[in-house]
This record gives sequence, structure tokens and C-alpha cells, in this order.
Amino acid sequence: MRFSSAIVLLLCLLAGTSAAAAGSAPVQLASSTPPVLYEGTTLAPVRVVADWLGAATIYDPATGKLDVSGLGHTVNMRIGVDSAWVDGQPVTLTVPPVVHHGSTLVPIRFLANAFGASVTYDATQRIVLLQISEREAALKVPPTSAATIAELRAGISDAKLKAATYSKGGTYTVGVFEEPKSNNIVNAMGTGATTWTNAFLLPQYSTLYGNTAPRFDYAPVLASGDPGPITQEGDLFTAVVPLRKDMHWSDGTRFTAADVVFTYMSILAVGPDQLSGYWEYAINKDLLVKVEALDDFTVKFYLTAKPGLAQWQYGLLQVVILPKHHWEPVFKQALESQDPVKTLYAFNDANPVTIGGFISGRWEKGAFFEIKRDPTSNSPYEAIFFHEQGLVIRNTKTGYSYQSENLAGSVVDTVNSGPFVDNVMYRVYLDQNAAYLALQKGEVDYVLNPSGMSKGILGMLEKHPDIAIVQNATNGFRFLGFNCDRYPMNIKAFRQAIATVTDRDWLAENVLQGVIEPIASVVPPGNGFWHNPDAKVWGAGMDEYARLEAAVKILKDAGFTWSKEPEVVPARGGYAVVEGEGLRGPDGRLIPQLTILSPTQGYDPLRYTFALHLEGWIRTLGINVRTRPSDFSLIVERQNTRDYDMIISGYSLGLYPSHLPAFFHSQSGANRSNYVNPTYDSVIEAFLAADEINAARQYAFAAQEILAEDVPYVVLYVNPLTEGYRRDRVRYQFTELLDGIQGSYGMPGSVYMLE
Amino acid sequence: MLRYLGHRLLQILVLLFVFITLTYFILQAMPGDFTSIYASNPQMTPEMIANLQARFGLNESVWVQYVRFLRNIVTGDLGVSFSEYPRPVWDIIKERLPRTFVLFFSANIISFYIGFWLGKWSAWYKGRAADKVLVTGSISLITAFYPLVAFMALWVFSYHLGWLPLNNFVDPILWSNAPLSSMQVFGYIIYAAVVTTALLILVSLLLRKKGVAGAKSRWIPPIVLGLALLSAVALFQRSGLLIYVFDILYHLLLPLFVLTFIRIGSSLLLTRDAVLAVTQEDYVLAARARGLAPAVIRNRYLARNAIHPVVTSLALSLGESFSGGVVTETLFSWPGIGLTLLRASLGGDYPLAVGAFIITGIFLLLGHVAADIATACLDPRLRDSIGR
Repeated sequence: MRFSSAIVLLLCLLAGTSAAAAGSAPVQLASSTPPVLYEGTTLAPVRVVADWLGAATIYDPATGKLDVSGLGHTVNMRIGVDSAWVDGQPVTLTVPPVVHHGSTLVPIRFLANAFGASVTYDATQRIVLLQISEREAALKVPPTSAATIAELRAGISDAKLKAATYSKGGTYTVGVFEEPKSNNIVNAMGTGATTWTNAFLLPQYSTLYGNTAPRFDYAPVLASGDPGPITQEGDLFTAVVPLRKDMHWSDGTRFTAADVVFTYMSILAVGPDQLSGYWEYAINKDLLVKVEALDDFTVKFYLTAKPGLAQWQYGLLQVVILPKHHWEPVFKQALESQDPVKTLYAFNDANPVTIGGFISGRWEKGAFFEIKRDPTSNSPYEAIFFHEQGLVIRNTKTGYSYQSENLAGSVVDTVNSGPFVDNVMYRVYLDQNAAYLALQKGEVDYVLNPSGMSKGILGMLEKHPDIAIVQNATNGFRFLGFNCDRYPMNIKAFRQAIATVTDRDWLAENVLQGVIEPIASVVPPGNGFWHNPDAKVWGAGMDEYARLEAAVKILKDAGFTWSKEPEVVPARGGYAVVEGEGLRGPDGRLIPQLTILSPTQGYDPLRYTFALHLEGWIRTLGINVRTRPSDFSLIVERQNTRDYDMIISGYSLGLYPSHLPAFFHSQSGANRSNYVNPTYDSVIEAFLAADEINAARQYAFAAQEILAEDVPYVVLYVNPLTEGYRRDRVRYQFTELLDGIQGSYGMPGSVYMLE
Repeated sequence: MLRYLGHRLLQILVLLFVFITLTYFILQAMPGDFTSIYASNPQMTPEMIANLQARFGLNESVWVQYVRFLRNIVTGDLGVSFSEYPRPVWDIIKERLPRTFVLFFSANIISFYIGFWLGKWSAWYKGRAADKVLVTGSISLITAFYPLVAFMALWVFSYHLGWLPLNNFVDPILWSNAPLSSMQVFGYIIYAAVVTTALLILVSLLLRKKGVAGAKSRWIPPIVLGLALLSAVALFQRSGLLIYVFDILYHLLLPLFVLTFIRIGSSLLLTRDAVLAVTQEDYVLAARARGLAPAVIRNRYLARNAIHPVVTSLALSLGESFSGGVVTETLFSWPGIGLTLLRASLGGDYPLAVGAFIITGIFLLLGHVAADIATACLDPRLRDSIGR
């Protein structure tokens, strides 16, 4: 093939034919490779044209497959082949796509026409003019090739993977360890909530707002924009939420304000406190008075008080919305029955009406459960563009778009909303080893394991050429908790001294050899938005001896005395620690024997190991302490009755740090460490009252600083989560995110299958 | 006989009551309750946990809960599960019992059958190389670490050789459009097995009553069995279920094989000991002296008299078949009653745990009665004493 490279064309593109756009000046597109003329056909770099059109390009050099999709159209081509497909229909090209000087060139007129754009060639000025219709212009998304980013992030450059191409469709098979508890979303949001129920049902439903992975930005889902300001109207506070006009339920019924009103009012009628679970902590019946439809796509919330973030953005606005026409008779029957909750939860929703892009498939009890792609959903045409700050959402089919108020910087990441698979098959493996054998055998593409894989299994899977391993931080922490009501744990210096001798980094590195990730903050660093990186860490950067000396100083300054003071003495070639004896408090009282309640070695060897080392470190301070390995349920009971000295326990957390008020506010029922600090209480009350997310963040930062100073908990570590998937079968758009792939239940909505 | 049965049933009822009460209070004595799983959730306030406890009736005293529970039991209501609220306990048991039954009952029957024949044979050739191999093999099987054996079998036959499915009881691709649920198909399999067994027993009784004996009658039961199985296959084929039945049976192979294999040892040794015990009896010596064929002495004189402990053991283990086994169910992802019991007990789901205990307890006690009746049928002396 010989190109007429003498003709250098300037590629100019004019957007819009409408009155407003017609007058706009043409935009010249930058391209490293100029367009070329071959046998009377102009060929241009596919990425330049596709990016301008707002379409995504996927090119696989190994097979020569070239797919361009967006604006509701798909074009499939192959390098050197003159037949192509436009929206599934075969067409013949006058000149096939070629690779020229490292760039992929395609017939520009063919590609532009396929996307509804027209091409004019000005021979005198040697300019190609691309024009796009008003309708298509409305659908156009920012010039970012979504699949290219996803491709790079997934490491597709791996030699073995070059042969692989994405495909639309296919079955994504996930190994799970349990079945769902119910096929009924109302039950799943209540007592039936488990990882497995969520994996089954959450991909089928949507909320008004959500936290968008991988960065977990707060963004509208069924709402069409940010919630309106909260204003006072008489005794009540109100806020207006605009809804999307382009959404419909899986049975074709349009999603309207009636569905939203129905959901909130029905849950209020039954009683969120009766329904328990998510209903109870998302819908506060003392706060929400009613929800009203202003028109088909606007709802108004009436509240008794001005809500904080937890109750508003992260509470009320993140409730699963139910289709009125499907659930109304069920609620009616429930409310007429003797026990509405029981009746409601017992409802067998075998033929659900959904909105999330998936719909329940077969559930063979004890063996497998399945969700199928809802073929009517417009979700696969949606892309989310993460800017340095804020995000943009565009739906190329319906024309919907949203842009964060605080949008700033360039696009740093793009995620395409799916589903791109035909169905997701969840196979139940009651034994983890069997599940990972199935992964190795290729029976499943991914194992959904909330605890991540063990070191032994990791060793086995690492050797498998087709299994990719990913590691992510989890959102939670393990800690040493003090009973701040008991002597001497009620003395701040005592807690600070123990925090100072706790060398979590040394233990993580030398004893546990990287199995854990040591952290010191009550908001894990993985939760980037809420974590305060400047909160104090006791003994940071010190070695064992410096830690001991620092701890002794803290105790001495607070008036503690010893019968024999601990010290660091020079020993052969270094130093040695001489354990202290007989520590007495500032009031002269001998420190009694203390107990650390810890999980048993069988239940959690990591926490047990920490307990043993903590015991050793605390002993050096001259404190008589012993570890008592106990059954988990006993630990829970002792924590609930506040009957302990020190305890080693752990929590899993949500993205919004609701645990800051829950665990540490003096009036909170879940404050199991009896921690009382009026300053902290006022800061956390301000945090709860803040209705703006950045203000709340500042209070959360202040709260973390107070806790770091007061040390009701010595935070020890977080378990990193290690997972594996078949890289020869599936491709995720991102794998780096808090709580890993399992945190999004295997990411059924955005996963692609490889051919 | 009826009086005896009545007496035994009364005993069972009393035992069952004691069993339920003990189980109930032992479970209640465990620290924490069902709501403990929410303890690590920062969003669950104590008030929310209290609401949940009220919903499950856990806020009342243990005695009030117990009395309410007993009242429900008497009315045949096992209550609703906490962990799968508000699913009735009976519904959960009904779903898992057939799976447990098919696997464990078959394994027990087959292992006893093979164990009995090998044991008889081993005793007859006592001291020979074959006997030594069998005895050593049996002891090895009894002492083998079962989870390891099961996992090795999985690794070899499913993962490495790929002959058998890796786990579970159905193939999702085949079943995603199946006309019936696997539970229904399990039901049909059990139904076919029960009808076939009943037919065989009936034929054997008829043969015995008509006095048909000897070589002629030997082939009748296998023919009846073959015909029954063929008709079952034909029926399944006609209803379009055959492929699903075969799929379940295909998935059954490995767990059945491993379970049978591991259990053969004990029945073999039991039979061998029992046969050896009667070998020294005078009537055996007399039979030998009369020059009877070794097969006749082995089958009629020795085995018949040695079968007593074997049948008792079989009846008891058949009763046990309904309680399943945690290791087998877990490793082969064959969710049954064993795992249900374990998880419900550990998770504080008292209604489900006690419900499952009651059902398995009933079958165990019935197994004891069956053992009594079976030995009575086999031993005329016992029959007479019961009859009185």
C-alpha cells in the first residue's frame, strides 16, 4: 500500500450545526500523525477522530481488531480487512484500516458517518471539515478514550494478554462461600443483609446518590443533580432533589418521583426501627416527616431538623428506591397483616422489577445464583469521567449529563458503566480451598472472599500464569482498646505510654512479615478523603529503646513511680532493656494486675500475636499484665457490658466515618471504651451537624487529632486484602480501590469478559 | 409386638423432650446471641440491637422463650430462623434434608454392603495375605485424617485428572434453565429409590412365602432391581428429567466414593470379628463335619449368625445419615443438615439449630428402634421375647 504522503492535510473540526454552534470557529485537532490520502480516500488517526466524537477505541495489535463505540453506536473493524460492522450491520470499506508509522488510520468519512457526523473536504485549502449534528453533539462526551485508560490500568501490555480482546457479553462466573438470605430487596436492606445477599441484589437496584468507585466520589445515581439547599419552612426544614428523566424500570415503566415518594413513605409507614438494618440507620423516623412529589421528576423532603451529612447525604439520600407499581400491593398486604415486617420480609420476589442494569436469574438453592443483564437498561451507555477534583457523568444514549459543582483539573480516570456481561453466575463453594482450586481450574473467574486469601493460597495462586493477584487496603482496623473508666486506664498518660511502646511497624515487618499493614489512625489511610495524615503517632520513628525511654518519661511526668524503674542499659554491642517493677500511679496506688482480652490463636492468629507482644512491651514498663485469649462471643459480651481492662478487637467501617461519633462520643451507646472528653463531644457534634462535606471533613480531622492525643484506642493494623482473578478471562476497569474488588461485590457492573 | 413398639415410642418421646431441653439450654448458655454479629458494626447502636432482639424475642427471659418454643413444637411449628428471617425452620430443613439423605444414606448402605462381604471373606481366610491386606487397609481407613483424604480425592479426581466435578451437586450451566428445582429432583430420586427398595423387599418376602428357594430364585431380585431401575430411567426420560438426574448422580460420585471408601473399614472389621466369634461354635464344626460346601457354611451358618451386630450398627448409622457431616458437606460443597446445624449453633440461630437437632434426633432414635426390630426379625429368640 502506497500513501500519497505529499498531501498534508490540516484536520479541522467544526462542532454543531445549530444556530448557536454554527457560528463557532472550527477547532483544530492536534495529531502526531497527519491524515493521508490513499486511492482517493482520506485516512485519519482513529484515536483523534474517535476522541473528538467522544467514542472509546479499543485496538488489539495482536489480532488487528479495532472497535470504536460511543454515542449509541459501535463500529467493529480489523486492520487490513475491508469489511466492517456498524451497529452490528456488515458494510464494505473502499480502503481498509491500516497501521502507518505506528498510528492506526481509518477512512475518516466512513467512521464519521457511522457516528452521525458529516465530512467535507476542501481541496484548495486541503482541509477536512467534520461536522456533527445537533443531536449527536448533545450526546458527545469529553475527548477521553475510556477503554484506553481501562486497558492501561489493567496492565494489558502483558505479552500474554495482547491476544485478548474485550467482548460485550459472556458469563462472568464468581465463586462465593454462601448463598443470599433472600431475593427480596426490602429484606436484604434489613435483617437479610450479608455480603452474599448484597452481591445478589445490590447490582439490581439504585439509590438517589452513591459513592462512585474507584475514588468513591459522592455523586447522583437516580437523582439528576446535587440536592438543593436545606431551608427552613415554618417548623420544618425542606430540601428539593431533582430526578433523572431518562431512567426506567426493567419492565419498561418509567422511573418517576412517585417511586421515590412511595419508597420513603412506605418505609415510614412500616417503621424503619421495626425493619432494622440499613432501613433503620438510613431513615431516622424522628427526622423524616414526609417526601412529596413536586412534579414527575422533582421530590421534596420535609425534615424536623437540619440534618448533618450522616443523616442526609450518607443516610436518607442513599436509600434503595423501590418500584411503586411492583411493591405497592406487597406493602399494602403487609400493613394489613398482624406482623407487617414479617410479611414484608417473607415476600418471595421471584420476578423482581429492577433499575440497576441487572435482574435476578435462577437461584438454585445450595448451588448457585445468577443475575442477568437487563437488556433495556441505558446504563451501558454511561461513562464517568473523574477529574482531579469532581466528576462528569455522560450517557451517550439518553443525553443525560452531570457535572460536579467543584469540578477542577483534567480527566484523571474514566470508568464505563456496565453491565457489559450477559450474566453473572455465582457458584457456591463451602470450602475456600475448593473455591481457589476452581479458580485455578478456570471454573470461576474470580473468588469473592471478604477476608481475602490466606498466605498459603496466595503462594499457590502466584505460580499460576493466568491468575492476577491484587492487593488493596481494607476499610477497618484492629486495635487495643482501654476501659477508660477503670484505674489506671482512666489516666491519659498511662494510655499514651502504652501507645508509645507499641511498635507495630517492627512487629509487622519482623514477626508478621508483611501480612498486615500497620496503621495508627482511627480513620484508615485508605479512606483518603476522611483520613487525617497529620494526627499524632506515638513513638513514630523510634526504636525499641527510645520508645521505652519516651514512655518512662511520659509516666514520670504524670507522677507515676516505680519500685524499680525500667531502663535501657548498654549491653554487648548494643543495648538491653531492664524491665521495670512495681509501677505506682500518681496517687501512690500500686497498679493492679491487668488483663488483655484477645481473640484466640485459632480465631485470629494475627490479633493473638499482637496481644502477646503487647503484653511483653507493657511488662517492660513495670506493669503486671497478662493476655487472656477468649472466645469471640465472650469478647463481644465483655465489650458490651464494659467489663474489661484492655481488649483487642476490630471493626469494619463504612466510607463515611460514622464511627467517630458512635465509638467516642460520651453519650453514644456504642462507646464501649467509656471515653469521655467534652471537647471531643463538641467537635463531633459539629461534625454531625455540618451539612457541607468539606466542613464535616475539617471536624473529622480535628476529632482524629483529639483521639490521637487521648488514645482511647491504640490502633494497631489493618488487614490488607489479597484477591485473585483470571486475567485470561476477565478485565476490570480498575483494581486499585479501598476494600478491593470484593468491596464492590466483584464489580459485576463494570467488568468485561475477554474473548 | 405392637405393645413393644408403643413402649419404645413412648421412650423416644421422653428422650426427645430431654434432648430438646438440654440442647436448648446448652445453646442458650453460649455467650452472646444472634445479634452479636452486629457488634462490630459501628452503625448499629445499642437501641437498634435492642429492637432486633425484641423482634426475635431475645429480650425475654430464657424460660419464657423456652416455654414459647415448647408450645410451638407441640403444635408442630419449629418457628422461624433468625439468620434467614422470616423463613420457617422447617422450610430450611426440608430443602437440605433430601441432599443429606441421598449422599449419606447411600454411602452407609454401600459401605456396609461391601464391608459385610469383605469382612465375611476376610474372616473365612483369616491369616492369609488377603486378610492381612484387608485388615491393615481397614485400620488405615479408620485412622486416616478424613478431611485430608477428601481433599486429596478432590485434587486428584477433579482438579488434576478432571474426571469428576470439583464441587457442588449440580452444573450451573445445565441447570440455569432447568424446569424443576434440584430439591424436587432430589425428591424424585428418593422416591424412585424408596419404590425400588419396597419392591425388592416385597419380592423377597413373596419368594420366601411361596417357598421358592435355591438357584432358581437367586436371579429374581437382581432382575427385579434391574427392571425397577430401567423403568425409573424411562420415566425420567419421558418427563425430560433424566439429564438432571444424571447430573446430580454425576456430582454425587466423588463424595459418595470418598465417604463409602472411608466407612468400609469399620463395617469390614465389625463383620470380621463377628464372623470369627461364631466360627468356633459347635454348629459350624458340625456343618463342616457334614461336608457342607464352604459357601453354604460361610453364608448360611456364619454370616447369618454374625449379622446381628452388623445390622444394629447399620440401623444406627442409617439414623445418623440424616445428621450429615460437616467435613463432607463443606469440602464437596454439598450443603446439608450437618453444616446447617454447625452454623446455626455458632451463629446463635436457636430456632434453626434446635429444629435441626430435633429432626436429626428423631431419626437417630428411630434408628435405634429400627435396629431393635431388625435384630428381632433376624433372631427368633429376640422376636419371641418382644412378642411376649
